[in-house]
Formats: sequence, structure tokens, C-alpha cells
Amino acid sequence: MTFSRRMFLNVFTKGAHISNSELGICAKQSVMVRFRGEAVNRQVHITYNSTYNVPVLWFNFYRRDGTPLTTSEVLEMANNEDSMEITQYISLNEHPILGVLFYNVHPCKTKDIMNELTGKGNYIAK
Amino acid sequence: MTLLFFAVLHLFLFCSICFQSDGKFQRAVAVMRSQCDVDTMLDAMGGNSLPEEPTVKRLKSIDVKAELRRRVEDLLEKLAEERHAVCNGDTRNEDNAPADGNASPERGPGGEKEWFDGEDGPSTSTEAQTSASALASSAEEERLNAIVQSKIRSHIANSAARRHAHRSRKQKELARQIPQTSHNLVRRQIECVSSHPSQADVTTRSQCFVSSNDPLSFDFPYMEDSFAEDSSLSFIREGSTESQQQVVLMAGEFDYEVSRKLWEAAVPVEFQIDQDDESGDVCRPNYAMLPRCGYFPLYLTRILEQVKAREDSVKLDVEKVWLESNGSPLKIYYPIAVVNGNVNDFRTGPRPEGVLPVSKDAMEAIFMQSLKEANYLKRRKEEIVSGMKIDEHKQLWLSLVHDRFHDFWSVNRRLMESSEERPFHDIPIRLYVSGQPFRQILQPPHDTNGEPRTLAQALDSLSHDLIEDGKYQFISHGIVVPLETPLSYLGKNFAYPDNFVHICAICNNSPSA
Repeated sequence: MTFSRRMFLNVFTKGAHISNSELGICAKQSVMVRFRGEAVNRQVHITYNSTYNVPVLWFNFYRRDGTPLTTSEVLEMANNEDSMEITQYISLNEHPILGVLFYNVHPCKTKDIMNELTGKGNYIAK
Repeated sequence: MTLLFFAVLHLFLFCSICFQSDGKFQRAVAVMRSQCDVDTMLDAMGGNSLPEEPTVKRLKSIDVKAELRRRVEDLLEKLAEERHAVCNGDTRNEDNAPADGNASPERGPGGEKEWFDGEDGPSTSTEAQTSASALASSAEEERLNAIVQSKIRSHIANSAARRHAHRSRKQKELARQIPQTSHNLVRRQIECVSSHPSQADVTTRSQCFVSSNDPLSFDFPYMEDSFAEDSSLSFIREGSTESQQQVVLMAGEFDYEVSRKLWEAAVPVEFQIDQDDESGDVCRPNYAMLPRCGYFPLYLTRILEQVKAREDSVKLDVEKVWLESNGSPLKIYYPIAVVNGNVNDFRTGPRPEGVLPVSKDAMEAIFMQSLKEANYLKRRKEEIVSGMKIDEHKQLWLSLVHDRFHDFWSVNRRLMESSEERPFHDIPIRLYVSGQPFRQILQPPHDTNGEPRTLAQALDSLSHDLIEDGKYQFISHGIVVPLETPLSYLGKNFAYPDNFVHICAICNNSPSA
């Protein structure tokens, strides 16, 4: 499966806000989720990585006062997902559009993982 | 019948005498024995015709002798009958002697002929075979010598041609760069040349790069040769002009001295504590020399401890500290050389938006992600870092944390291996402009014509707006890099420990270096 820039645009146009700038294209989503009985804001961004030719998932969590969750708290959130092994591929790095630190899933394995997907169901919602 | 028996005995005695006399008559003796066997066979068959022999000549001779023998025997029988009638024994003895005399002259010429044929034939053929084989072996030896020598000569010629082409290419590249020498680069080069490498350094180089398990061990003699050449050139040209010194440093694709000096480069940093408690106390600044290739999170804890040791009133927590320079928060996850500020403030309180604390573990994760991406750019599917052992990852990171050059390069050497036959796929380069995220696109080391791409070409493809007016200068490791520098040279010598070449675009009007 070859993931191209055009496919990237087509897949993520629906249901998300597309931000286009000279630095690249970014699909954004902002929702409120619950963490330890507290409402926190979850920012999810998807950008295109030209080195690996794959999309990259960027995310961060903020409290109501705007302070971000700590690394241990973010990993605790990620562990609630179905796949616990993904935490080893999550780390901070600079967001290519915003220029600030965000958490991201390393793109070095994305191509191999997406080759195994069957295309059934919405993986992002899981 | 008795007479016949006597004649046979005589023949056998003759044969034995010849056998004992001399060795060179062995073939003749063999021939004689064969003849005796024939005679015996004739006697046994009662004078019947012989089976066909392979040699017609021998057949005729044997027939003639047989007929003569029959005639002699017939005569003897007639004489015997006459003597029996006369009854005289002496007459019989006299008759026997002439018979023997007749036999020997008859055999003499025949025997000699046989000897001559038997002796010359085999010896002639033997000599011929011997000389033929001798000629063949000598010819083969000459042929093999010619082949080996031609192979050796062609190998030497090919090696020389390859080196000549390589050197001529380097000379062309260097010739383009000499006129564009800048002041900072010259100063750096003088500093490098003045520190003459000692014997210990040479030994260290060998220890650092020799590895019997390396699949590219064939290239090592060339690398050693390159080192020796650079050292000798450096020695010869110690008193040369600045432009020639540049030639010395630029020679060879990998330059140990450049990598070592860039690793050891440090930047002086003044840390001022800015407390918002309005207590009126002014803390003295803290000064530190931090390595350009390092990262601030690696040193903040120690700096804070030093500050606390002097100022009891300081109550700073490393988790709440952030750095600011000229009113802007610093991106402490960049290499220190990329962070342009010379003066930094420690601050506490609410962080500006987007500023997150970076622990050592987070810094390590960022470093490893950059390292993997850089090596994916260089080798694509043949990327090395992902296949390394965890111990090697730890060694790369801890060598950087504890400033151990040789431990770092014992692993990093494998990430920097490339040759003209197996070049890097893309050169990992990131361009930093103040106030913007870094820019990065694919940068192959050669263009479509196979010519080496330069920094100017890379910057033009990456950000044409910065390079067209000439109002920016491009600094890496605190050095203004000439725009004619080949990308492959930068990828090997100017890469930071995460294997990226980090280049800062600075306005020419800006005072920061």
C-alpha cells in the first residue's frame, strides 16, 4: 500500500478542520474527554511526513486552566487504549506546523502497521 | 633329440651372460628372451606355421632361422646315420663343433640388428616425450607468470586510476572553495592545524576505527591511508598560507580532526536567576561552558545545584524552571549550538503557552527519534539504527551525556559509512529560522548529472527566499559554512550526534554569532 499525499488529503478531509499553510497541511480535531473524573481537552493533529511518506499522529492534553498533562499522565491515558504496546512509540517532539512540543507516534513503523490493516471499521475511534 | 636339447641350453647361457654384463643391454636381453620363447614354441609345435606376429620383420627373420635349423638338423641326421654305419665316435664330435660355429655367425648380425632396433626405438621415443613434456611445463609456467603479472599490473593500474580520479575530483571541489574562505573558518582551521596530532592520537584513531567484524573492512586500509596522507600533508604544510591550510583540512571525505573539534566545541553561557517574589535580593549570575552538541536538559539539574549551593534564598524546582533569552522562551530540546542566545534567564511561575518541561528521558526519546529518522534518510530500507541492540542505543546516548568521544564514535562510525559506490540516499539537513519551526525536505547528495550538490543548492531548494538576497549567513557549530561545501562532506563531518546537520539562518545585521 503506497500512501501518497493526495490520499492523505482525501481521507482526512471529512470530519476535521484542515489547516493549510506554507509549512504544510494539518488536520486538527479538538474534543473534551474525561481523565480521573476531570474534563480535559484533547488536541489531535495529523500531518504528513515527507521522510517516511506516511501520516503522523500528534496529540496533547490540556486542563481547563491551559496547563498540559505531564508525560506520565499522557502515557496513562494511552494505556487505556486497546493496544498497550503503542506507548513505546510515543514521545515528545516538535510539531512541524506549530513549532511547539507535542506527543507523537513515531512514523518509522507506520507504513508497516498500515500494510496490515484490513480497512474494516474506524481505527481512530477505537 | 639330445643335440636339440644341448643347443637350447647354450642359448640360455648366452642370455644370462648378457644380462650380467651390463645394464644398458636390458632391452636387448628382453628381446633375446622373447626369441627363445618363440624357439621353444616352434619346437613344441613340431615346426608348424607360426601365428601372425605384430611385426612382419621379425616374422621373416624367425622363418629364415627355422628353415636353416631344419636343414642343419637334417644334415646332422644324415651324418649320424652314416657314422652309425661306420661306427666312429670322434667323427661325431668334430661334426658338432662346426655346427655351433655356423650357428653363432648366423645369429650375430640378426642379434645386433635386434639390439639396435630395440635400443634406439624406445630411447628415442622416451627422449621425445621427455623433451615434449619439459617444453609443455615450461610453457605453462611462462603463461602462468604472464597471467599473474598482467593481473597484478592491471590491479595496480586500476587502483591508481581510481585514486587518481578520486583525488582529481577532490582537487576540483577544493579549488572551487578556496576563494570563498571566510574569516571564522580560517580562524578555526588555524586552530586545528596548530594542534599537531601526537602519536597517541594516531593510535587512538586506529583503535577507534579498526573492527574485524565490520562488513566494510575492505575500506579501512583506504581510510588509514587517507589519515596518513592528511597527517603528512598537515606536517608538510605547517608553515603554509591560510588557503593551503584549508586544502589540508578539506582533503578526504571524513576528517577526524574536524569531528573531534566540533565535538569538543563549547559555548559560554551566563545564567541569571529572575525571581518574581520581589524580595529585592539580586543573585549573582552562574557561568558555565556547555558543549555545542549537547542539550540544556542534560545540564540544568547540575546548574541549579550550583546556584542553590551559593544562594540559600533560591528555592527553584527543576520541574518548574524554564529558560528565556531576550524575552523569548528557549526550545531547550534543540542542540545548544542551535539555540542562539548567549544569555539565559532562569524563571519560575506559569509557563508560556507551548512550553513543556523536558526531562532527561524525554530528551533521550527525542534524540533517538531524530537519530532513526536521519539514518532512514541516509539508507532507506537498509536503515541500521532500528536493528541495533539496545546497548548500542544506550551507548550513543550515554556517551553524549558523559562527553565520551571515542565511545560515541565506536558505534556512530557504522552510521557514517558511505563510499562512492554506495553513497547516502539523502543527507539529513534541518534549517532553523528564528521564530519558526525547522524546515526539512529530501536532499540527495548528487544531482541528476551525478555532480555533487552543494549547500547553496540545498538551501535554494529548501528556502529560496532566504538565499536570493544574500542577507542571511548560514551557521553550523558556530561556523559560517561556505555555500560551496559539498553536502556529502557536511553529512559526514558537520552532523551533530543525532546525525542531522543543523544549520541556522542568521541575518547579517544580527549581532548573535
